[in-house]
Amino acid sequence: MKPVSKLDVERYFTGELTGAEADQIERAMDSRPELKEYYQELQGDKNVFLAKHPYRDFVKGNQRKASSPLVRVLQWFSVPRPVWVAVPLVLVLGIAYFFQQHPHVLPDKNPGIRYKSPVALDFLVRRNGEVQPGNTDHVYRAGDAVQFLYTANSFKYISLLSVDQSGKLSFYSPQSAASLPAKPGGGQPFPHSVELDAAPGGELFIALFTQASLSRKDAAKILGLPSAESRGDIQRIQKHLQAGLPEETQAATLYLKKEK
Amino acid sequence: MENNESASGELNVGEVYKKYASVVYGRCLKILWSEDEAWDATQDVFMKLHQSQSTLQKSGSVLYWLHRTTTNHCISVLRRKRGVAYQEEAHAGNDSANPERALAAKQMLQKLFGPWNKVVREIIVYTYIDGYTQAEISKLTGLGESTIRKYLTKFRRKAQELRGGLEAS
Repeated sequence: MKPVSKLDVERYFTGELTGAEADQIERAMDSRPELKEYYQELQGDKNVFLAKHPYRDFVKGNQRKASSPLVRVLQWFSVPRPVWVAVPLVLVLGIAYFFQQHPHVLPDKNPGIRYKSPVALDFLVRRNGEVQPGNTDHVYRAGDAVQFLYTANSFKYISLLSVDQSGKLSFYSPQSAASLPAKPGGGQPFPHSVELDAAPGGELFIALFTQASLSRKDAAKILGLPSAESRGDIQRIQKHLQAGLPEETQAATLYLKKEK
Repeated sequence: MENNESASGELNVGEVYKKYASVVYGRCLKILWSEDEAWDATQDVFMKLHQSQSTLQKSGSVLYWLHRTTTNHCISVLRRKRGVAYQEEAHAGNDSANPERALAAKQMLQKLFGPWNKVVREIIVYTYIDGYTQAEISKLTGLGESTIRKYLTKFRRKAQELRGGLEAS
């Protein structure tokens, strides 16, 4: 039997391998963390890519490429003149009037709470194979895969944790450490997506940004909990984070609503 | 391939896009080092896919076909960007941490690509950009491992000569 390579993982990832071949890849990923990591990286890249360039963008792009600039201009001017002047004008005036009357409905572009910016936490959600930008007003359900995107700026490590309504603390890092090395630049995908479980109610996701790697115990302490096994109250943790953070530490949180 | 086909047997480009586009884009980005160019190249590759359904069906693996087409497409994009374009990219390039390094690597790659035919260029990319083994390159290209070894030996010899020439100058 030939050793499993990254190319094989790519074929497995794109669904080209089934049956015994797929089983072989799954076994190889269990025993070789670098292959598992590569698979998770492919999954993360896919989520980010499809959110940024959905299929409709590809279709639009090709339509643009297929028609010359002259054709495009002619297509535009082939619409009767009163329509192409009036429609955008009515739309713009209508939207402006609506927001003037209802200022409270203006969308908050990044609903995640940030403590001492400039770090940030955002997310995408994959449901039934479709990837959508995350929205903290939506109610998510068990099985939804959440891909977190972080902006760590000059911080070297990120620790991702969550607390559910029952107070259970979860870490999204391998073994006993809480931290993973953070990549520079905005909107970096967390190395793997998080599948929401069936625990009812909302869940608070917390990203801690630090200059040194944190143990799970250290991370729990920052949330005001005595140990990594302790149960925590969401409101109390939020208040604790707002009250202050240790030096060279920043945090960003997202509260995701889940079906009850 | 069955999962990517519609009831009429035609390739369902939408399905293929959802499954493979991120892999193609990642590959383009690795070779071209520019997000805009990588997105353009991804669209071009999927246009080719739409136009080449008959050859694709013969090749069996959509992934292998896309890897080869993407690699060759990106190499031709790189080759088209000789001279002045490189100077511009040194200032606007994606490797913002070290634009000189990005420029030097691109120029070196360009010089190294120069004297070789399409197959060898493809092998160079798989070996030095992707880090694929000769067995993997053999799977992708259909060439024997001994042929790949022969091409790589010739290429390394030429690269040594080039390095010697650069050091002397």
